[in-house]
Amino acid sequence: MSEKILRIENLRKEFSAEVVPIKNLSLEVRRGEVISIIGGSGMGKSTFLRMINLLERPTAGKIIFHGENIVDSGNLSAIRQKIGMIFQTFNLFDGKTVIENAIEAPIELKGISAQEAYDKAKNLFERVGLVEKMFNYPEELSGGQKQRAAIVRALMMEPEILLFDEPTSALDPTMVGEVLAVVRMLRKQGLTMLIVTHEMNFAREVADRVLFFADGEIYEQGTPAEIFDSPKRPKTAAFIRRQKYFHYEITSKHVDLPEMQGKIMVFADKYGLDEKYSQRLQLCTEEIIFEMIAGCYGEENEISMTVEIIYTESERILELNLSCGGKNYNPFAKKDCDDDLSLKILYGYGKNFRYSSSEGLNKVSMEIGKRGNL
Amino acid sequence: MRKIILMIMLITLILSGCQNENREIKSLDDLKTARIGAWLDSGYELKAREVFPNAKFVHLDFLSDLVQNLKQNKIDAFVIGKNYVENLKFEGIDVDYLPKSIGELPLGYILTKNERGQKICCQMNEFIALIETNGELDELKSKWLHSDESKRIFTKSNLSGANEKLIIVTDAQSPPFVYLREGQIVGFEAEIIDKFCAAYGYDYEIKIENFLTMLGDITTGKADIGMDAFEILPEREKNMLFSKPTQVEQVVLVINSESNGVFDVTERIKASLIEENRWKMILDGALTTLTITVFSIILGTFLGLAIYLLYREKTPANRIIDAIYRTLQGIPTMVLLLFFYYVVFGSVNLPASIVATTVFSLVLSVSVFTMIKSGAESISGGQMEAALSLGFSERRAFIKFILPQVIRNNFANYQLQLNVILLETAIVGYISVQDLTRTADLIRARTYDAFIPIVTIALVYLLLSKLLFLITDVIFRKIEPKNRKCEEILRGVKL
Repeated sequence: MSEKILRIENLRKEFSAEVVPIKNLSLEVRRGEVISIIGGSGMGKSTFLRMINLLERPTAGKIIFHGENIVDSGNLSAIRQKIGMIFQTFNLFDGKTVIENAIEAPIELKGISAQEAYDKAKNLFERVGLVEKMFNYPEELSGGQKQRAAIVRALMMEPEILLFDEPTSALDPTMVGEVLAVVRMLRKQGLTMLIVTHEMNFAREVADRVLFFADGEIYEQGTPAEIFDSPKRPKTAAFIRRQKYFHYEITSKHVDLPEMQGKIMVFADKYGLDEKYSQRLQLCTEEIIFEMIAGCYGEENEISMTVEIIYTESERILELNLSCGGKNYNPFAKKDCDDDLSLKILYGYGKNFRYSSSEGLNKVSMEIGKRGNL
Repeated sequence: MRKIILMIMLITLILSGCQNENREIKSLDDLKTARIGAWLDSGYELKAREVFPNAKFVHLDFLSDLVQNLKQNKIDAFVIGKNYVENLKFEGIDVDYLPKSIGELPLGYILTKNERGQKICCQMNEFIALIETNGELDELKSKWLHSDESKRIFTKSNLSGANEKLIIVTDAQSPPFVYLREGQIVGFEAEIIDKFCAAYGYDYEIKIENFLTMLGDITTGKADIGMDAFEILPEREKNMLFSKPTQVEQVVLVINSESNGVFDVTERIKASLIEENRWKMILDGALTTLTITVFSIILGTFLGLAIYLLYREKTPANRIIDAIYRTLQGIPTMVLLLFFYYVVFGSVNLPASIVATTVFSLVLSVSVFTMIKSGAESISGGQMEAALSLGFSERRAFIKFILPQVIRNNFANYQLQLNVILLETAIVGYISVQDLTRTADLIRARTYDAFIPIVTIALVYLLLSKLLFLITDVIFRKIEPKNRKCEEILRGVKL
């Protein structure tokens, strides 16, 4: 087993008493290892990377690099030279040509000659396919070219670790591939890399180890196969299966339908549900709400009802859940629905109907089919 | 743009040539309710107010303004000493005065009310008494007050340069008593001072200042003698000393003469620009304006940049910087100039042009500071982070990567600020720097014609401004990174 290049112990970052993106995180990285970091947004993935580069100061904990706790180090420059960083927004220097972006840091900070820097940069630009663009300015480059140039800039300092902070998130889908190809190339050369990414297939393909961030810690980690094929913990599973949630609370019999329908529409739009599917979802939601209000409640006006929609992107399953108080009432008890239009609609569009009740709570669940048979 | 300017000039020319219907004035009685021009709070005004309690008084600063206003019939008459009018006539100005004098005013020098002033005053009084008795004073009077320019020959005494030096201040706008001729200060009073210094073993230096500065310098002791044909008034003696009078002036009222013609433009240009090499004065003035502007631009730019770099370090000094700059932004440049001249450097004998440069540097530094500050904020923090992540220090990253962009993005704004500084230097005359604007005032005072000098300096300002833009445009092209060639980008590298 190769040496441990980086050890992180009990790292914590607080922005304020309420905002604590990293609660308690420990990690060891071996030389040459490629680690993908995945997780929902706001889970501290970027903050974690930025702390390794000391762009953010940890609130507590140690980052040990070459046996030295760099959090207390007086020589930030020396450490940052050895830990490169690639940003989501490229951050190339405007007003400098691509070649200048690459050579200025090694000339000034490592003291190499301009000729040596140029030769080295030219070699790297050849390998990432940008040699034609060396004398262009960043604004003349496409997103993918910018990111490749930024990678060359970081490589020019010969870093021991390279940190990628969502390197493809700001890219047009057509340009993601060219950047990922460069990362694959670096992997072959044995560079130690930590990659925060939303490209699940890429994360799986390129990594030796995958970390899933949630609740301010490494919630689950393992080989790509372990994480992607058989996640052990619920949040990991939900994330891997790409489940999207919609949630709506109803407190009065006079339901604000237009508001709810509007929100469902936005949700459906966001995840690419087509219009018919979206309409069917809205219709079923409305019918089941009124069915349950009629069945569970009497004269009282105040009710307590929760509507939940779960869309599993990976399998394209749309699930509608509803829970409410009041009397026990199973809307699906009646199989014959000739005189009940609501039920007719629900049976027509849905499948896998379930009902349960416990501790005075009715729970109804159904799947909305892609195709209706009404 | 050019067409508009020409139009404005033409209209002004026509208007300045127009003459209103003249009010018939034959005697003092005709002036009872007239508009009478006067120097503010001068002895002449006080005398006139006694005689014409119901007249409307119009205050003007310069003799030239009085003449101009009279010619344009904005006033019906103005009150002044008889010898001033005689001198105007020698110079070919078409004015007359009512023969009946309304009083007399003794004229003398003013001195600081302290021990040194007292000493010099005694010596002067002694000297004046002496030349009064030996007839020298009468000779000077006949030369300066009763002859035209051709007979007024004045050779300065040869002073050793090793003796105690007297600082003499004057506004040099009281011909024939003291005025500028071919860049030299001459006149009845100027020659008396010269002779006095020679007799009493002094060296002297004459500074041209405006009236208020002059009074300020005498009361604070910054200068020794004020020379401006001062009317000796008892109530003024609280703050300063008066010498023995050298001349007693008849107070008269000046009116338009019967034959009131406008002299033609060529004549006016000749009088304002050619005679006495006045174009040289304008050139000198332009040079002064340019010097103050250029030094202010250089100092102000570097000061603003330096302060911003200090500001980035986030030291406790930031509060002070904020406070000072917010204060500076809230004060008119004019007031700032007076504040620095009289208060900050009040007790230091610093040349006024250096005070002016200091003030304009400060004013520009405020703009530069604000421009860099807001400019730096508008550049995404990402580039700074990228530079830090490569190992650059915060300051180095700013200077190397952020600042060039800030400069490039804000250059047009910066150019405008420089132009503002150039044009704003027109106020330095208030602390007696002889810049372009002040030069026009001085010429106006001699020729009694406002139009030509003002139009001339307007054109010179326009030219300087154009020049400033041209030069800064060249600089901008130089700093634009995209104008570089490959060889310039990679110096000393074999491609």
